[in-house]
Amino acid sequence: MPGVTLTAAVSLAPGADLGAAAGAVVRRPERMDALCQAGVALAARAIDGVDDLGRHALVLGTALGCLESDAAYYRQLIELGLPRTNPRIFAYTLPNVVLGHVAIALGLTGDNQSYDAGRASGLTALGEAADQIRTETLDSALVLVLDLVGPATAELFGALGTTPRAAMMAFVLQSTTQATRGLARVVGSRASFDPDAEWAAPPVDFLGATGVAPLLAPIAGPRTLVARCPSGHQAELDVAPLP
Amino acid sequence: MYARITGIGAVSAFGLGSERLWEGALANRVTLRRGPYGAAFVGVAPLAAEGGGRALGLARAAVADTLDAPLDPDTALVVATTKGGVRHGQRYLDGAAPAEALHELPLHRVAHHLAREHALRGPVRTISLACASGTSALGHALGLIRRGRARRVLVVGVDALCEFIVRGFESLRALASDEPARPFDATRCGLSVGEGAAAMLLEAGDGPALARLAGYGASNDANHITGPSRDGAGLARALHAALFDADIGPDAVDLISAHGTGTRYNDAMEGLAYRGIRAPVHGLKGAIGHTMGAAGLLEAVLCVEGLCAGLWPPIAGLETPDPEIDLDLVVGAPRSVDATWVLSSSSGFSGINAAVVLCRA
Repeated sequence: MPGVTLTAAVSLAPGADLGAAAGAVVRRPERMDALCQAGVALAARAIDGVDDLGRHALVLGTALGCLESDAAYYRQLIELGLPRTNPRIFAYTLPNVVLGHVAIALGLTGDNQSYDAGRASGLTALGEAADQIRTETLDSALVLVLDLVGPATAELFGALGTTPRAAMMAFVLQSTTQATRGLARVVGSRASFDPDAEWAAPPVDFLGATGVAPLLAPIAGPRTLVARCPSGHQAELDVAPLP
Repeated sequence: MYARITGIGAVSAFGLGSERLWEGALANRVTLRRGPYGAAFVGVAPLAAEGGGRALGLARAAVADTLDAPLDPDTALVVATTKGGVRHGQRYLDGAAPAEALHELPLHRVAHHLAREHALRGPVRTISLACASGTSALGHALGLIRRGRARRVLVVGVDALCEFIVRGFESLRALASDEPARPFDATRCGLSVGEGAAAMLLEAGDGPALARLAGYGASNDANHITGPSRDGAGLARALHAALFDADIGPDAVDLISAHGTGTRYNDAMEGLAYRGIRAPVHGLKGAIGHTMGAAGLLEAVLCVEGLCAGLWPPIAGLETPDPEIDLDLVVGAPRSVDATWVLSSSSGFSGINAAVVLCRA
């Protein structure tokens, strides 16, 4: 079986100008919602300099998806009524629309996958992508780990009693035989569920990106990234330095 | 490697149970009626309200219809949905529910409840890929079995109707307004939405089965967010990827289960994508509406029934096939086709296309 190489890892900081970042990739980014702006900007940065994705998939890991657009659309429906509701917003109430925008912007016509496993969403998406590369179903995967924090998210998490932190990251995983550069190796992954998990509000909630951030820094030695969600979803990703 | 399909279940506007779905479709019945969401024609499942919300209730009903025995704890669970518990958020914004209702808003909550209720410890995830969610979930489950990540996967597709969804399609002017959806008909004027859930139990290894899941393929049009590619090339790529994955050629396909929404662009696109696969085409959405995240699963359940019976329901609502669409459509009455291989496809917003190949056990 081929190994799996982490070829690229990029992120946007909370508070980044998403419209400007997306505007470097597409015309009229203001027509997108913030999730799609972030996704398009990150995807373009992640594959910059990657020679050939081969048989590829666009993969999304998200815990909240398009919650902000859900709220924006429904508030407009309530306040303005159907005739004055912008139909474009409704399209953005589907989390995979970000994958569509990335596909259009970058001409990527491969498989699309989306994973919501609560706070284990990001590691689940990365683990699934790595697994499919390892078993030669794919040559490469562009993995987006996205959760935005806006007014609706703040309201939701206020009710839950915790502080959410936005996650905007993108990664390219490739078959080691395909990769011409690399940051680290992904050597294993696991996912499971704990039906007895009890809710405990973390002081800061990294949402679907829980456990993922170490991939943005150099991997000094073998380690296992872990995400356990109070919902019961769990995922682990084993990473190691390049030989 | 194929996966054995060892259990199927459904709840739809035909009622509770995969038998109701099968009997209703064979009888060419149309369940679509005006209301309760304004003037739109919708397919409403006859399910009483219960704790946890309507989507969860529909999913529970489909799972109960599927299982003959308790699930092994190592079973993986894959739930497909487009909007999950969005009704909870709608009710909160309407002032009809407290903030606690927002707990059930994230898409993974239906899977969370099902996994806890069945004490599952295997991988559990929710897939949301617009109207291709159900078909994509089957493909993902097949991958889990092939890669040795699970011996057994319960796949559930579900979506419940609410104002949020019906008004959204209305705002896009996608809904048929004067009559229910009539997929592939010369006079069609849009889609009708519906609600429901379906479930399928997939297992690895040899043994008894209702049918087998043999292949999966997917693609993105990379063309438009809300409209399908006009030339059908994206869907054709997904179809041929699924056939390649099942290790069969287009000539082997005995029947196509179409996405068949009833919109002009979708139906025309499918007409082009299926060129070169000369097989009868049937579809379900004219009977129960477009059930979004449940659609691919409900259609796959119907395919399993068809493979077992050698009989295929007509496309409800279709009377006069569009002469511009060169397909062998099943019209008016069931057709006997002793099928071995069936190709079922879905397409959705964002340009996604997905297809599965099912085969007789």
